[in-house]
Amino acid sequence: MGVTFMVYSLAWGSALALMASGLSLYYSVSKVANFAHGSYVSMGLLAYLLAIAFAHWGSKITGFGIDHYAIFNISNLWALIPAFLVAGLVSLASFAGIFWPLMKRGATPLQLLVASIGLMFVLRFLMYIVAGSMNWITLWTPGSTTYHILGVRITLAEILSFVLLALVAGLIALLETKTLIGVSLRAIASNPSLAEASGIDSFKVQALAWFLGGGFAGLGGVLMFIFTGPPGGRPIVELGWMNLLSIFAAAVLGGLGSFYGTIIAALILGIAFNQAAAWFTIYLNVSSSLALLIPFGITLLTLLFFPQGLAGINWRKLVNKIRITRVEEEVVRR
Amino acid sequence: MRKVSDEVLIVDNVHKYFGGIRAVDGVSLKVPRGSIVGLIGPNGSGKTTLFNTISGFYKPNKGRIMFDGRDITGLPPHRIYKLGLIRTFQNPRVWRSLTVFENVLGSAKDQRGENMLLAMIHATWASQEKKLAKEALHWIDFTGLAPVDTRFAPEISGGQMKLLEVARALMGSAKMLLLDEPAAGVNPVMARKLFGGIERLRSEMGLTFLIVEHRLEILFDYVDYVYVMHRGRIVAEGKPEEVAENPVVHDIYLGG
Amino acid sequence: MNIISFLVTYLSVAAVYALLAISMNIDYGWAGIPDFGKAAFIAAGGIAAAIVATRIVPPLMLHMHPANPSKLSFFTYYNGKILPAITAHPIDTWIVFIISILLGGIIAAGFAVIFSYPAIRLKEDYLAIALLMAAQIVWLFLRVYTPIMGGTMSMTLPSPSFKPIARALFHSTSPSAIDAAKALFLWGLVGVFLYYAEKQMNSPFGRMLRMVRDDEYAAAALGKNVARARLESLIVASFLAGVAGAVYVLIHFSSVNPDYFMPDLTFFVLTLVLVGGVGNNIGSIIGALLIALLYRASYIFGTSLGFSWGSYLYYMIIGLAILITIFVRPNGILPEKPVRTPAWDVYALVRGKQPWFLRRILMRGRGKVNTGEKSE
Ligand SMILES: Nc1ncnc2c1ncn2[C@@H]1O[C@H](COP(=O)(O)OP(=O)(O)O)[C@@H](O)[C@H]1O
Ligand SMILES: [Mg+2]
Repeated sequence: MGVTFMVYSLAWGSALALMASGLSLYYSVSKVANFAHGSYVSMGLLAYLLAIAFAHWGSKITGFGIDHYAIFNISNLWALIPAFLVAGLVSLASFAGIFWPLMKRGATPLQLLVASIGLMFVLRFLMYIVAGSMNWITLWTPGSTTYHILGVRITLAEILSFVLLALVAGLIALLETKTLIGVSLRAIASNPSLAEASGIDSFKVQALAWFLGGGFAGLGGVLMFIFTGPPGGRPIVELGWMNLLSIFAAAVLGGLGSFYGTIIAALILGIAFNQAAAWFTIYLNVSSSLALLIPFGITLLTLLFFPQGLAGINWRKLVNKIRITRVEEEVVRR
Repeated sequence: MRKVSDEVLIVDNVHKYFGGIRAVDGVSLKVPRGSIVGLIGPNGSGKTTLFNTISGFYKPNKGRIMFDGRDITGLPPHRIYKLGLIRTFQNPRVWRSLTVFENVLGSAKDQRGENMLLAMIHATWASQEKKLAKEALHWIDFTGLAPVDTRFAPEISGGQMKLLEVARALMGSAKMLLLDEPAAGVNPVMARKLFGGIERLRSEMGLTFLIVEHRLEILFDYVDYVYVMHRGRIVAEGKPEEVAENPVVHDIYLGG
Repeated sequence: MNIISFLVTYLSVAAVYALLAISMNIDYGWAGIPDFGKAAFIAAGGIAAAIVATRIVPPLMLHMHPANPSKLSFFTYYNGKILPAITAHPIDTWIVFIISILLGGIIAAGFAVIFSYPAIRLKEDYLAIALLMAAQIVWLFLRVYTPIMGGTMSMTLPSPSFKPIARALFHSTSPSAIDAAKALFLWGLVGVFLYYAEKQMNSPFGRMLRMVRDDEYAAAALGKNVARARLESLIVASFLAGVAGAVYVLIHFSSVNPDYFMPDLTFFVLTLVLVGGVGNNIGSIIGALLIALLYRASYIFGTSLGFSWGSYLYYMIIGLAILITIFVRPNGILPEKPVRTPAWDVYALVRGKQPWFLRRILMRGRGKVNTGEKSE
């Protein structure tokens, strides 16, 4: 399998990390297990394709024609910006329009979760209108420019996924330590009522988290599509839905709401899934889709022993949390 | 033969830590059968945590808890309830989709109809249910909740919720009750009535009480003995009038 | 298409949805378990039907060798020999049906015991996701592991024959008479589910589940074994889901394919319960009737639009139904009813009055006491 494949697995994991860390980012402040997150992923992809289509308006950009122009190369990198913005804004809008009002009314976590399922369906349909009008319901991956560095085959998309992940991780680190709003972010995450009492504008801070979180999902969506193409030959709109469980697996394994825990979990799952997929097809001769058993199995097993995910095990400052069992924590919170 | 001691509850050197916080740090106390014992101390001194530990919600890091001659350390809450030790919550926890009446009724012990299969056979539980309903109405009258007994639990006032907590505990055929600030938010007249009721329960039914309460002027009129907690430890104990004069207690309450 | 036949098909579909919804209402509605693994429990019914048709009935009743769906010769043997042998006798098709629903229920209950392990320990969000992953694993497994139902190749099943019923009821075996008999039978089954659910719920057991759902800590402090209550409700709900799953494949599809049990199914069933009224069994049925109508109408309308995206219109309808419900009627069309036990009779006797909600909702028609002041 060699280095090339290892690089691919890690890059795949990085794309997953981008998507999942976005979820974790706003979960940490808003506590919404958002099933519409997958829609932001697909939104990012659609925005990327549309941006390129506009740039080549007049050429044959409908149907499979777009694949020719949408190849992931240096001159198309700019299209990641609309991908980020569109997914981020849709995410922001869903927070401001749906989740925030519900939270103000004291909706339970379960109600928020169910609302997100409704939102997911609506967004999916809207995307089908766009994809359908451009005749893009099914597409192949447009591929990416390939380089050979020290004998290793590496694509631009792979490089970008590492670079973007590093940027995102750095950005959040800077935000959290150097800016007021980042400090507020952490304050709300650890104690929402106290934070609000001390004058933090909870809405603004959460809105920022949702915007960034959705945007990260959009970036991850573009990269994931370049790597794997349409999920299982299904419509491209389903990209987010097909990856949603992997996203949740990473977020849950990392400890819902733990940004860096999620990134690490996504990288682990990326390697596990891709290695398993290769192994399954080569040695067992079964479909690689079954390889999802491995990441999901890892996640479920971890959850059974550590109900709070990786964050509950590793992180120094969270060690206290896991010691206190769930019952204790809940009883006291009231 | 089980050894029945005079002390119905014995807490022996119990520790409970949350990470670095020593919320309960070596508490020992004894509650004689049929007594009313007070547990006081400033906010954050670990009283609620001690209650949570005794009632099985927390497992102590160290120490032993004996109830009625039996070691109950580490038993789950519902088992401790079955032995006759019932607690209330400082911040009322009511069942919001049930009425006040059902909140009380549902707290009864050993309901046959709670068995999934027997529930389908009406005849096996109907007569017990009727008997329990009468008992529930009795405790509702006792706690003065009758005017609101068909309201859904979240609709009643905070003080009434505290009384509901007490009514539910009484419904569970307890031998001993752990009441966490039962009169918080209840007006002084009702509060005195409640404590009068507690005294009656003790003399008529032989119930034992361990009560956390901040309104010392009321509490001290009814309790036999008082423990004072501070920073997770018992710092003073004695008869109410002794404790009231204890300089240590004054320091704690004035110094926060 | 004539209106009667549309109505009859629609009613059959709605009945199947209603069965699924009642099952969802038990664990999600009463016990508050976010059972996002529902699709897997429904799949248990499909697994059972496939096993019964290929491996249990042939040797047991037809003196034929069992069929193995992963073998190349499967289709010639199963479609050519076994299916005709079963469908030759209406009685045999019903035996297949009855064994399938029982086995489906049992397999699903077995899944429930396994899944209950996390259900007792995990917090809501984590639990929902864990169960969803478990359902995805079951689905993927069924797709890839062919010996059960042949992977994704869609295996035909011997649907129970409604000819005898149609003949007995309508003195006719025309297709519309058969469809009507089928709809009647399915609604009869809904009636059985409803009777069971109402009876189970209006008991101290039902009250205990609500306590566990509303506040598990208070429930534990007042003697309820929370873990056990959750386990029991999950087992009951899953048993019904397994039964409903067997009905779903045998009567609704007459075939079985892992893709019938994609995890999306769970969300669909959840929508039925949510719109109809969480915790209310009749509400679940109304939800099924309403959403089945919207679903079919939006599908027919969407495809008639002539756009490639038209066939996805139902996503929009379901999504909006969920969002509107959450914002406008968070408790659904029919809100939850109080638990009705003989305790209320005692209450009425002792207090000399009945609570207003009992007069209004439960004792409708008995009305001996005057109109209720909403005791406010
Ligand atoms: N689950 C918990 N996690 C962390 N700290 C806790 C927890 N429960 C209680 N504490 C801490 O333990 C101390 C005692 O609290 P508590 O028992 O509620 O006091 P009291 O009831 O006497 O007011 C407080 O400092 C509180 O912050
Ligand atoms: Mg306290």
